[in-house]
Amino acid sequence: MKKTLLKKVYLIKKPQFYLGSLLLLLMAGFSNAATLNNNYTTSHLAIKKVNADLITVKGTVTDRATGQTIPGATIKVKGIQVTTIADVKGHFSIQAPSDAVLVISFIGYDVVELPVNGKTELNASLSLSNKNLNEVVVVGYGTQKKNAITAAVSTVNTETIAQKPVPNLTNSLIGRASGIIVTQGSGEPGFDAGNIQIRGTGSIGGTRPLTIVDGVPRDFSLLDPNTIATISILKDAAAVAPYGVAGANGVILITTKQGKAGKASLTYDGYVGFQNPTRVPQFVNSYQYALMRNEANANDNPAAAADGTLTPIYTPAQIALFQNHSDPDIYSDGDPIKQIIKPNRLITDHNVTLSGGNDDVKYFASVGYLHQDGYWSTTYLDRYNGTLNLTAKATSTTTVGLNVSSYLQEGHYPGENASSIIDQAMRQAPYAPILYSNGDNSGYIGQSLIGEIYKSGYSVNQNTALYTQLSIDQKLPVPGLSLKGVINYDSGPDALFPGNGTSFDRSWSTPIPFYNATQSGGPTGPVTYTVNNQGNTKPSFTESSSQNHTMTYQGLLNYAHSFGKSDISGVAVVEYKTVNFETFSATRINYNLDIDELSYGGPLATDETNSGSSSGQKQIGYVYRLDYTYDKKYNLEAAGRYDGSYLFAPGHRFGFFPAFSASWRLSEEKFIKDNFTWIDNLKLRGSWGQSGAYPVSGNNIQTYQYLSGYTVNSNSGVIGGSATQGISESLQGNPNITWEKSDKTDIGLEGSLWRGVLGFEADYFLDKRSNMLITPTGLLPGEYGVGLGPVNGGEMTNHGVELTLTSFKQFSSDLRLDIKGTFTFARNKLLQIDESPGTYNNPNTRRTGRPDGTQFGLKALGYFTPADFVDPNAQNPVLKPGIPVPTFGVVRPGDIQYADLNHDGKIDNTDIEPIGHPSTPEIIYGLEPRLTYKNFDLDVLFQGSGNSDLYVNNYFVWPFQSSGSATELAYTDHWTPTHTDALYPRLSGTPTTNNTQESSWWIRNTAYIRMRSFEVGYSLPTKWLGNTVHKLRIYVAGQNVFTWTPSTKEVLDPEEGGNNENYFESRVISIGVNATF
Amino acid sequence: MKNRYLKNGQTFLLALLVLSIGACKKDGFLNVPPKGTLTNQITFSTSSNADLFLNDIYSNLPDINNEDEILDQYTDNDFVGASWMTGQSLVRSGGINQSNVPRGPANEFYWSNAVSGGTGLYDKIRKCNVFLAEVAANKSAYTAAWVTERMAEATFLRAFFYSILYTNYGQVPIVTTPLDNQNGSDIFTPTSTRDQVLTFIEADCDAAAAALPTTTASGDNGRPTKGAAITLKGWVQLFAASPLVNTTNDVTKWATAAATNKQVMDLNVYSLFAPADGTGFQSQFLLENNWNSETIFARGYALPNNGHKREGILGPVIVNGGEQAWGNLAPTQNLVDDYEMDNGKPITDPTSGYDPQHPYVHREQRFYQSILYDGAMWQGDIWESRIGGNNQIDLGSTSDISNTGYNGIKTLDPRINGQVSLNVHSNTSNYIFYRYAEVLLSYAEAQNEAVGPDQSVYTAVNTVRTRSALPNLPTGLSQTDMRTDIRRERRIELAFEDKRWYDIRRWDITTGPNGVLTNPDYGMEITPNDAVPHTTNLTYKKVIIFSNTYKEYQNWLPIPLTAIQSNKNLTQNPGY
Repeated sequence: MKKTLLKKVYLIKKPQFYLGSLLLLLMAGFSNAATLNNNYTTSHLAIKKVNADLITVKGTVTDRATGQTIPGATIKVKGIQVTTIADVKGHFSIQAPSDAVLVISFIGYDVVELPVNGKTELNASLSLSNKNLNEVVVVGYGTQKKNAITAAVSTVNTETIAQKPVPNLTNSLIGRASGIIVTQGSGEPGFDAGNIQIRGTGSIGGTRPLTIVDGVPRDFSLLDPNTIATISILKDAAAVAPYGVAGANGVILITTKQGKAGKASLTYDGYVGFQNPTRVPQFVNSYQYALMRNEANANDNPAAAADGTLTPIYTPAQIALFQNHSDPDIYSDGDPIKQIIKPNRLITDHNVTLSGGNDDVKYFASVGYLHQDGYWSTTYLDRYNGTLNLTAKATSTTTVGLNVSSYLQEGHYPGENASSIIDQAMRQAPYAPILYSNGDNSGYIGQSLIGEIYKSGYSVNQNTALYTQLSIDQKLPVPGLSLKGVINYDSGPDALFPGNGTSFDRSWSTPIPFYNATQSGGPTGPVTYTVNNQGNTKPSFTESSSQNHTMTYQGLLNYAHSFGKSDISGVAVVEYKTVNFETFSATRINYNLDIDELSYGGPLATDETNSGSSSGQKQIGYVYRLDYTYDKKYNLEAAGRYDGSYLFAPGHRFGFFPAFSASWRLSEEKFIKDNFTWIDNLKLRGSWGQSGAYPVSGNNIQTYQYLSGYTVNSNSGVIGGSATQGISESLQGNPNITWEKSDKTDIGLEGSLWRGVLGFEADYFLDKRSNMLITPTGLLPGEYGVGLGPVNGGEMTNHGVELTLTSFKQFSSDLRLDIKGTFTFARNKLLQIDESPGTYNNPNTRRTGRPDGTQFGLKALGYFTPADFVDPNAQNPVLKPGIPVPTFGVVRPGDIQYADLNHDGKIDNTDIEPIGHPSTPEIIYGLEPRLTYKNFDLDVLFQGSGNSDLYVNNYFVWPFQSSGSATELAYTDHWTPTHTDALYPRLSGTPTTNNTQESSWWIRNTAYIRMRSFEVGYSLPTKWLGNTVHKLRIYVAGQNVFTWTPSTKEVLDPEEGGNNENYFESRVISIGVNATF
Repeated sequence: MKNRYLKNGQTFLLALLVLSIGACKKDGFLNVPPKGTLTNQITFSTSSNADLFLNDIYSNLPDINNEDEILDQYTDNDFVGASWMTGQSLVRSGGINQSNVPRGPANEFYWSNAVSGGTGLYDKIRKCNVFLAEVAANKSAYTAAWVTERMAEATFLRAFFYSILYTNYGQVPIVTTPLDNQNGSDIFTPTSTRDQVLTFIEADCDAAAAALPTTTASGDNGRPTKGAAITLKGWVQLFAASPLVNTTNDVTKWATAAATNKQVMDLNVYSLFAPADGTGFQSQFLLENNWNSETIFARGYALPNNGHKREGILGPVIVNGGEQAWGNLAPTQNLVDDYEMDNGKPITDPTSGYDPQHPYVHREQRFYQSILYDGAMWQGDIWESRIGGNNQIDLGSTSDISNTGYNGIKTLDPRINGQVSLNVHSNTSNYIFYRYAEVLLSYAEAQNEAVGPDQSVYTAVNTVRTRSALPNLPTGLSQTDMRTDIRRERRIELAFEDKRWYDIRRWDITTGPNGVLTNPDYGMEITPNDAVPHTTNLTYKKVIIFSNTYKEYQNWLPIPLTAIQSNKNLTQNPGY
């Protein structure tokens, strides 16, 4: 660089300043220039002209295919604000200038423009629009017509998700578009976000897709569904290329609604719903529990049981007390999990939207409120959403936009977390009441279930977001060229670092008093209640706050123009982003006062602690996309991004991520047009490109890996009689650390037949991921002295197919059916990972070459039978010679027998093999019929999954685990000498190590089919409504209505984990209203 | 109008161009200071930050006051039969092999985390190397005085860690820089010979001694001094002169060791701790006497979070009727028999006055200060290991109670209750790595071997004996007799200070007909002859409590198998 330019180089250090100046320049220069063009009088002139020679035009609007009239069609005079609506017979009459153009439109039909040319009668016939063809799809940094797209992009119909009783938007996407896999792990209010994968597991690092709201990386999960206009899923290289280093896991693009020109429209949408858990396992009652205990005791002491010297744990008298419920405190008969879950918990949502505008200014304003109760009264959530989107034509060539979306979500929880409560509820044996008859809360093994829920203090999480955007779009004097500047300020959840956000949390943790009842002198003796305490003896209080501020600056240059048969369009973008994140947390312990404020904590210096941290991000990207179309048949596109990130070492920060794609519209070829008239559209497309992913391990983007990581130890060497702080090197940095690289190939065929009766889109994709982070071991000498940070060494492939089928049929003007079906299959294969020789050298245990997350364990053969033992009734029975011996302790008849895969005569963890698919499904499908008949509408989503397995464990399947309870299924279906084909092995006092080995015995196929949602609505006839209400619709909707898990006998939700700490997902039935004023 | 457009458009395009080119060539504007993440850059940016890195190395000095299994358990001094005492059971059963290397007290024999699964010597050495390299590279950020002193400290610490390698493994690779697999350098360091390792340690000690201060201000207690560096050097030289290494008995090696230890004496900084009450031998280990005139190098402790629990781990089990401590310091009869009578004669001397049926009378003062025996007082309780006593000798290792009939008390603070110690780690007394008495005895030993028992040898040994009220050694001893006396003196004076393991190996007395690890360990079974409580009518019987097995080649520990497998340039010690 020349010396004379050095001054400018200095400015480069402050790109935000630079982009800001550019925007100012835009506003000051271009808009000013445009104003001087004197175009402001256009509408004024038009109105003058209208008054000159008006004529009345009459006509009828009909369906071109059926010839039936179309009542309610809109007839508008182009250029001026004169509009009318066709009557019930499809007739209209409108006053228009004799040289005007009429614009006739109706929802679902293509818009028709008819020149008046002085005629007083004009009939319009409309064709049903084929959405697939004319739909405009939001893509990276722009929009494209569906038929010109060369990339794999699917969209979600946002109308169908807006009114479903689903608090978190992530859970609305499943089954609605091909290529998207969502797993909801928990139903706890505020912690229910689904885990989204696009096209399956493409990386061993992170698989989170990038989410973009209104063009900016943002989290969308807590936005108000009523404010969402479009959702696009970008899947292949061509689609994600504009997102460069962040695009490899796919991109979800969300846009919020903008006002539409026309009369102001005020709408109210609201519902009230009732939540119940989808599935709660039934645990045993006290009688069953006692019988199982006695049986287990006999099993564990076969010799004593055989000679009659065994003392049962529960005597017949005690068992009778369990049955006759005469002593509710000592011989209780409860069902803790069912007792703590309250039925029909409220969920309600209310939204008011005002939308409208004219050709110059359009506005969309929305306020929403959501309230969701948890399964106990101490858990509930409130959310307030606000949106204001404005667009204004500042000059004839300048459009200014302002978008503001914000929310506050406040979650309230008990002082103990839900996983601990649910665990305790499943653990607590039925004989222990949760409350004593005198109203005191009880304890079970030192923990009090009711105490944890209602007496443990509280925790309040406030999460806020403010997304603001100011954009200025300036047309340039070159035809088709425009320049856009966008400044975004966001405070809220970080799009890249989950957990970073703007939040304020308070948690007050109190000691939990509880009572234990003890009876002396036999079953009728006196009962004494002694008070105990769970947790610390004095309350503690923590406040923590975090602030996440993001500035995103974008400059876009758009171009679109036609030259003869050629259409050329392109976009060039500079995007610069900075993030500042700060946290602060303070804790006081040993409260003597029951006042939950920081300042009232214990008096000692050691009662106070605080901590804080800060971090930042800087990224810059240069994006381009060029499209060339010849003769509407051949599309070529090149797109890409040159991306730089602070995450990598100086000199290693920039990467280039190009993609190329092409499509060929066969249906436009003369041969097909002439011979196959039933083909509306047929397009073959293909793409190839490279995209990137930030280096992720353990679900978090790894920062500063190019530097050696150091750790501060608060208790280090003692110097001069005092402890010191110390610093040690925790990992050696890797200066060459770089992004994950993804090579993506996609071939797709899409089409529409018989005027939309069948639409299809099919894709095959292949994603080869390399540079994934792995931790190298065995490469260094033992004298190296420190571990290495991860290196970019992992490789895997991920391939699959996707299919979307659509069909719509207008049976009559009253009856219309739309069906959408989606199917996704994705399977990955690890090619190179950091695998220890221990697992690699055994073909049975090798991870490499198998899908990520493949589950390994022992291969269960069945149960040992008495014939397998020399003396089955011995206290420590010995297996007959030749039977491989398990190394997990004594086994007896009814214990699980495993295969000796390495034939060494014993069963240990060298005998493991793959026993199950990963827990994330390989197959996801959905079927979405929508039916409208007269004033009724129906919309249903059936959704299912396949090829996923779950490892079940703990109280669900292991009776008395950790002194816990047992399920009713375990009571009815466990091994006994007379019930040898049981689901579960023999009972024992504590589950035996042999039977709780991770084995195929505990693997369940979690394939499921769900009625994920439905909605039935009825729009009240207009004649019933007064003048104020234009439209009123009432509906009933449901979520997770019905679930079928054909392969799992256990009562569990297939999306939840197989253990004991999951907050249940909900089945919700709601009733709602949509009103337009 | 058009002009206006163009002008602004040009400005924009130019700006875009400059921005793009700038970004390509120089990406510094993407820098984000890694404040939340600590890195080498920040750590070594200032001397106060860098001090924290060195502090961490100090915390890596073996924390033996919190150790369950002190090194004397690997010798004939201390026998604890509990099955989880894996180190001593490995050593005593001859079970040392390359995949089974004893861990040493406070895991101080660990090779490295990658090999042993815990912070090891090469991890600690890397820390020293990183500190030395980074401080050298960032010199301009610090004052010259700070650089000189702190680098000397790190050099000393590196020599200290190498001395543990040298005196246990012998031939090891010498790593002097932070290994870096990314700069193309050879990270697979070959084994150096024992002589090379010795020379390297000597050089580090010399460099450290040249820069370290003679004494430290109290605020720097815990940092090494010049005397510490010379003492370390004298110790490794003594080891190198000893029969295990010096197989040809090259006398000049003894002379070198003598001269270096003499240097410490000539500093005139150190003296034996000898308060007027005559308890110096014992009370130097109490917290109020930390950093006394005898201490040369020690690890400090501090409350609330850096105290130690030595009393809880090592103290006698049953005290005042309750189980107070773990009893992991159980001196053998073999050790007890080495304490002289108060007349200065060993009990094997027929004229000593030793009565096997009254073995605990008229023994030398250090016996009573080191050993808790049947009938002695501890914390106001009479401790009885006799049959039927409150701490009856546990011959079957069924409990924590002593297997030998004795419990060690030297280095323990009798004012600290065992349970309190275990719960709150309440003691802050130093763990002393080097003290002046050892220097005197090392000098005496080396000088005796180099030139014979000259007056300076007598003076050195007698100084130690006099502090504990023992008569001087008889004059006119032969070199061999003097050797015997010095070795006994060393065993007694330094008992329970983790020295004996090194001494028995370097003297090559572990095996053979009189080998201390091939002959049995004994305990004292004491049987009351009548039913009166606390009777003095007792029968004493030495009983074998363990029959040791050991192989001479095991005097050198094996290089761990994982280390050998991960670095083909390493050479295994013979025999493994």
